[in-house]
Amino acid sequence: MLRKILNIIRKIKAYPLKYLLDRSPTKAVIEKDIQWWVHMIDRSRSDDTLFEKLMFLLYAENLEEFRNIFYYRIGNPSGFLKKSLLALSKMMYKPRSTLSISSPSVGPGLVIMHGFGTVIDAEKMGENCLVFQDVVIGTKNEADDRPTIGNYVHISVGSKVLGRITIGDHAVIAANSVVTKDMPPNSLALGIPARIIKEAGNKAEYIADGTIPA
Amino acid sequence: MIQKIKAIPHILLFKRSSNRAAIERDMFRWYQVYKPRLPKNSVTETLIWLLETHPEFGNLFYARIGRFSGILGRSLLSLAKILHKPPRETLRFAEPINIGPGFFGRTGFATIVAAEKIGENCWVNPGVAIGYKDEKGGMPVIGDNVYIGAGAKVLGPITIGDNAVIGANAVVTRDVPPNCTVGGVPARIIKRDGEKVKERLPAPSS
Repeated sequence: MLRKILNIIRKIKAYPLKYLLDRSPTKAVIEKDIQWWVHMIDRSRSDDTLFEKLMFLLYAENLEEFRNIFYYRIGNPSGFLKKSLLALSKMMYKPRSTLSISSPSVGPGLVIMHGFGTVIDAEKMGENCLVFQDVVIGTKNEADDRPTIGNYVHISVGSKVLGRITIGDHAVIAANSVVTKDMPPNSLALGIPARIIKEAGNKAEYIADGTIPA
Repeated sequence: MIQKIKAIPHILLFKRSSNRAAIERDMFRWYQVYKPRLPKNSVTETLIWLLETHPEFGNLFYARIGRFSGILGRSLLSLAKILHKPPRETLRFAEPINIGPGFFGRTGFATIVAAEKIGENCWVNPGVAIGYKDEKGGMPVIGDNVYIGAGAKVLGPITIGDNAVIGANAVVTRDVPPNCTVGGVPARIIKRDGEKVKERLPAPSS
């Protein structure tokens, strides 16, 4: 009985977000985000409806990063009703304060795990990327360009991806690496500065500008 | 309009502060980095914009203002702290701060700035720790125009020379000469006066 009442209250609380989602121009992208997040976190829920999945992501513990992505996609809506609903939902569902997303374009299905101290400031980011905590993607200084990142890129804990570079599709950046040179698709980079130790599934050993480390 | 009313205590504090020149240089640096589009390019306009959009500037602002002894200054400061967004919890400055003017800190996530002294125009990125190495104490002394990359750690009683660049994710526990770029774990010199080199950092002379 109590659980039923609680469930109804939760549904009413989540309604402003559903309203914003249904009337957002980026609805298709957010839907893909929700599907991919549920696919990554709890595959047993893949048959639920979209609203049920949204409810699960909002009420699951330690998934505040999803809220950041949701508000990033919604952006700044026009109209008084939408603006006040957005402010209300930001009060009810607080986003992670130490995660900043300021890329002009991010493909659907970006998943951020434990976004403590994560800065995402890429020129362009592809689909279904995976980013962890303490990752910084951005410029080195004020007179610098931002990186371009492909699809299905995995950027592990504490890595820094800096400057005007291109990261290919399906690339993997290992923990605590510093990448400041281009990475080919299907490669694995590791270290400071990052060496490419695997390319297209084969072992390789070179720094991304072509020099072989001593 | 509301933004302007909210920022009145801050403007009064700023005008009365003994560190006014330093705060003004800071604001100019942040303005240069972000290049905002403001209706008027005045100092107060920039201050309002920074307080609204960059909470990490609030930390620096309150740290520079410091503590007041009089009742008026104290109440003004607490009013300011109530009125404005609480600054970043994840950016800490050691008090009393000894930081030269023109300091820039990006986003202020997981950043500790506990230095003996920092020179002018320093740049600190997210994830940086500047502070003690162990219980013996001793904090770094950092020169002018030093750039500290994201996730770098500068620890212990060491000296960082002027115009040094510390690369991302580097761990520096020895003195860094001026005009050098260091990187890696442990940090090595990778550039000296603009030329690529491979050198170790000098051992401590104790």
